[in-house]
Amino acid sequence: MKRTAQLFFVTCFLTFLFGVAALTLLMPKAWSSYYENRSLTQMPTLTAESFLSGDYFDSLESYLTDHVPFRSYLLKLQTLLQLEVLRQPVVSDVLTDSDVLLGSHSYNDWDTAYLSASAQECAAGIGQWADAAAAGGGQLYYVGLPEQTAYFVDRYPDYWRDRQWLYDPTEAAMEKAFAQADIPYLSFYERFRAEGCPEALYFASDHHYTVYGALAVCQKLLRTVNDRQGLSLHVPAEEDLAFTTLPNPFLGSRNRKLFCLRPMGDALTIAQYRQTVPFRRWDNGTEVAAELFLLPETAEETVSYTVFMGGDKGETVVDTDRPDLPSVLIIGESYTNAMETLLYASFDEMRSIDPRSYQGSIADYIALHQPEVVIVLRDNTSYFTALSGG
Amino acid sequence: MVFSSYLFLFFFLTLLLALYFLLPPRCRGGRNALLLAFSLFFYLCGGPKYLLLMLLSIAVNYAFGLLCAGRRPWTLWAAAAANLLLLGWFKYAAFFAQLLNSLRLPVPVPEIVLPVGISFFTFQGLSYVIDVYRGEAAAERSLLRVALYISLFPQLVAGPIVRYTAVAGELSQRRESLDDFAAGALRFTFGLGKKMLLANNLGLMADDVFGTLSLSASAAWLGALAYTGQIYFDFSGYSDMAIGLGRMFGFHFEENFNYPYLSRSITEFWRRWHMSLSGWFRDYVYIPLGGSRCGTAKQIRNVAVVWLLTGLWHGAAWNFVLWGAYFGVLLLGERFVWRRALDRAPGWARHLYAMLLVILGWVLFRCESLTALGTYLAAMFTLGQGIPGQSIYLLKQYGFFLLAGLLASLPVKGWAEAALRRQNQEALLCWGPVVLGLVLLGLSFLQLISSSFNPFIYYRF
Repeated sequence: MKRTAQLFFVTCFLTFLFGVAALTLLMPKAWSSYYENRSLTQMPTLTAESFLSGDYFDSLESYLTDHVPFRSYLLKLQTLLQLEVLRQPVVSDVLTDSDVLLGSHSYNDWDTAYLSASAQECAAGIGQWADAAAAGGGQLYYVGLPEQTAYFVDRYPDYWRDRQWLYDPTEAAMEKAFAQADIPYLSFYERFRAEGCPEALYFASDHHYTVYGALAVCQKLLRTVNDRQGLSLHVPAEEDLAFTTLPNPFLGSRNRKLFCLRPMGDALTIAQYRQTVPFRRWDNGTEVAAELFLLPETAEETVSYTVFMGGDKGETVVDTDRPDLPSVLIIGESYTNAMETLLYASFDEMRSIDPRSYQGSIADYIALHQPEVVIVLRDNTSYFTALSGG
Repeated sequence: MVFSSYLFLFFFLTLLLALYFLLPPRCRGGRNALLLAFSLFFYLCGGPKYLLLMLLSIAVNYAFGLLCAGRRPWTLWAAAAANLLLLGWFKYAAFFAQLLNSLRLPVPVPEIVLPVGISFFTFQGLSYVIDVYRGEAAAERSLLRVALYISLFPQLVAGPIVRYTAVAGELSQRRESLDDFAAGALRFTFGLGKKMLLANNLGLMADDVFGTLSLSASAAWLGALAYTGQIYFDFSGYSDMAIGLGRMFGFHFEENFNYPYLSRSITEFWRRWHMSLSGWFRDYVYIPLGGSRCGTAKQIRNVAVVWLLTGLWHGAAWNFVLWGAYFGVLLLGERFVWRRALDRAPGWARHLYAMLLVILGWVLFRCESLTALGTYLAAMFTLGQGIPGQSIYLLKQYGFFLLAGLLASLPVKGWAEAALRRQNQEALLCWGPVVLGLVLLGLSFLQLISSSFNPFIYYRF
């Protein structure tokens, strides 16, 4: 029996080693990992420098672990073990020990004295765009949104050190700095907290707001613009919109990191104007279909936040051809997408810039197009992350 | 390259196994040459420029081995000087230059990257020439065999420090067998499991805690426990893999660990922990200095020298010196001051005493500066100002690994085998380890591909 057991083990051991090696070499290689939302390491190039430094073998190891056969299935199995067997509260940097999926972070506190200077630096940088807008007769507004982790800050479990200690003084510093710079600053962190952070406004399994959250921001923003600039932009009301909840499974960004094992009951709802506003659309200078939503072809496909405006684009232009209305430029990351599907209808032309991929100078862009309204929209975890694009 | 890497497991090892066992057993020279070539390639992967250093070490020790056979003292001193010069330059030059600078003796601080495994292969080289000088081993005339002894990949970068006399015979005459291969492969998978599943997860926990600026006392103790587990499973797991790999190729290396956390004194701990290093210092430093067969003052000197060197061997930094001094003082205390009291204490109290001091020792080892050490110890022994909830999180996130680590640090395997033997459970005795080994292999594989956190503590020594 001992010999049989030995032979069995050796056979399994060698089959495993040689089998994985063969499959690694033979199976086709992917370029990206859907669930991890990242590009996979490509085969490193052997150079004298990388060889001598030993970097080549490190890169080769990264390449190999990124191209393990059946990698997604194996990673999903590992995630399942962590969630269901080990019951770990934090898996893939997502805190799962709550009724919403939240971002995890260290227990470290730090001195917040720097916030004032950082906020002033931020306001000074935005001030250059505000000046460019003012030179063309426009007005810039800075919209500060809570990221989902900040929105649901009260939903962290008792043992967790949430970051309200950071968010509160950050908002205070931003409001003060923007007031000093005379730039209208709309803080939705405080506003939503005052309203009790209604669940419907943010996803439970994604770091974005929902269309209801976008609508709440859009309404407040347009009222502020009307008051400040004496305009009469149309402020969309819920009755103006037809809300459609897609039957497709929703893949939130946090649930995506968990290989869809924690959907949290989220579904994607879109809002379309009952009274259609016709428009033409250009992405990065090329005219594309006049659509605001990238809808799935079947009800079985998963959908994500990228349904709004078809995801992030460097530059998008939506022209409703109503020259009597003002134009708007909205600058920001993915939070602008859901907002744009509502905002365009109140303007003649809506331009949108995502500074992560737009290559030119945003100040020059403002000077060139002279929009009457410029909106910078950012979430509170990225206030002090430099916006590129000038 | 480390054993717990994809490149090693699925390409290096598979290719070596295929080529090695394709060569007929009678072709011993060919098999040795293949092992040497792969060992040098294994070392080359960590940074090819230091391969020359390794080759130099081989050449120096080969030549001094032949010279030391004449048993002239100068040959031994010259061999020791050559080896220690290499080690001293690459590992300690910057440290001593900084020390001189702090004493206001300005000297340039060289920027030297520590070659992987230099402490291990230098000590093996020294072991060879000293054994030859002492007449305990014959000088090896085959350069290939000396090269293979010094560079053999299983123990090259992290030990165990294999004594030349322990493998001299097997370098030229060994028999690979199914028994050895199966036992070696099984040992390897258990070592891999210790490293990937326990050490890496406890390492994440330790990093979590040691990276927190303001700790509560409970979190600080949990962090210290986690590091205590991490360093044991990291190093003993690697030793298991090394011993297992050696056995697959017909070598029988000595054990490096013997359940050190069962110890009831610090003296016993150092008989169970990193036994190949303790044995090396005992045989080549402590006993030649006079050991314990001399007056009290000389004994104190001998222990102090050995533990200063042990501390420095682990790293050229003050925390390692302090760590060595800490254990030196404890060992002297146990020998001269509180031995009787310790002997009279109940077993549980002795165990608690030993573990407490060992855990504090690892905190010393882990903290990279005296300031960090002071802050950490203050958190452990006072009511730290940290967030109490962190301990709950740590237990929820890593409690399983702490518990599994506790079990794995006990001789459960021996207990289970004895129990099964008593009940004549032959099938379980044969198949239990096999099934467990395969489960560990699968889980380790999952851990390997899913986590980029795969450090190896002793790799830097």
